Amino acid sequence: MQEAGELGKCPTGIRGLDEITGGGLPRGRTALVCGGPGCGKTFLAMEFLVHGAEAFGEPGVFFSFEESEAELKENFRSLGFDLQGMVEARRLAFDHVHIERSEVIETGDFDLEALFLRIEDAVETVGARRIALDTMESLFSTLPNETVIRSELRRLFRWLKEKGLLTVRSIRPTHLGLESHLMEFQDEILRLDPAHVAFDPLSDLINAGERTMLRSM
Amino acid sequence: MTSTQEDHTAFPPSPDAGGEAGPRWTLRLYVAGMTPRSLTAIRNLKDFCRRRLAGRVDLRVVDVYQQRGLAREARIVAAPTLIKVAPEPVRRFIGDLSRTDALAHALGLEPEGSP
Repeated sequence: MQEAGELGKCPTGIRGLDEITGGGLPRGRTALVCGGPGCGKTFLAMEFLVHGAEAFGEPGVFFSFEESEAELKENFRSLGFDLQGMVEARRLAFDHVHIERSEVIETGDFDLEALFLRIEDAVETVGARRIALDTMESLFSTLPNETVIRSELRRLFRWLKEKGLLTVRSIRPTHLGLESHLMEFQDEILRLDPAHVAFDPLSDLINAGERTMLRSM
Repeated sequence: MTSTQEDHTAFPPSPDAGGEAGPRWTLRLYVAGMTPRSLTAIRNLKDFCRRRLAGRVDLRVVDVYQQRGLAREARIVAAPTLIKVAPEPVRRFIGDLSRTDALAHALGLEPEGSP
């Protein structure tokens, strides 16, 4: 296991992001990318993994709590990303966490150990050094018992830190309030503002939106 | 961890179960390791099946630590999770099954203690 607390920052490979974060993200900490639908937060999270694998030889894991693996591959293929090829080269692994609220009934105490096992499996499959968690806060609306979810997410972030994984999480602005208890694990909060981000997949997203990304921590 | 990584229990028909007439339930309980919480869920479910579904249930307990990959395949996030596979609709029961009233209700059984 990689020791936590490696000093210094790791460049993400996304030029604008590395500039405004003063050199990248520290290992074991989480960058929170906050933006509404269509702001490009999924794009940024994926770009973080693609750059990591291609420029730094660091495999990545993408955990999607909304779109399926097939949808993501299709969407990114039209933007020029060969995610399937990266999966075949074992530089990228996906998992799609999808729960229908309507089919869930609570019957007593539970934890998220099964989810963490899936994350661990995916990380081990490719030897991941980076992980993207795309709108994981959906768990709060699909599972009962907010208190359990909160304490389990803290457990997850401690684990990610121990593993020294570079982590990017996307989150919707309306859900930031659910996250206040997790701030000790989060170094950077990047806000993507739809009014200003010119979404041009052929140029660097972050450069396009650089002015609007506020470094708040 | 334990030898009961997959415990397939078809309960023998009880004398008053009504043979083929009753519905046949297919239940899968997914646990993550044999933790106290997992053992509580297994005990609660087996008690429930013995009391309410004797002879009419196909029950299997799966430890996702022993059979890696099944958590993803069955879309398990919380542990324990009981899935009612059949009859449809599929339902997921999250937790240690200490509240079997919710389970009985979702299976369309009369509340216990009612005449």
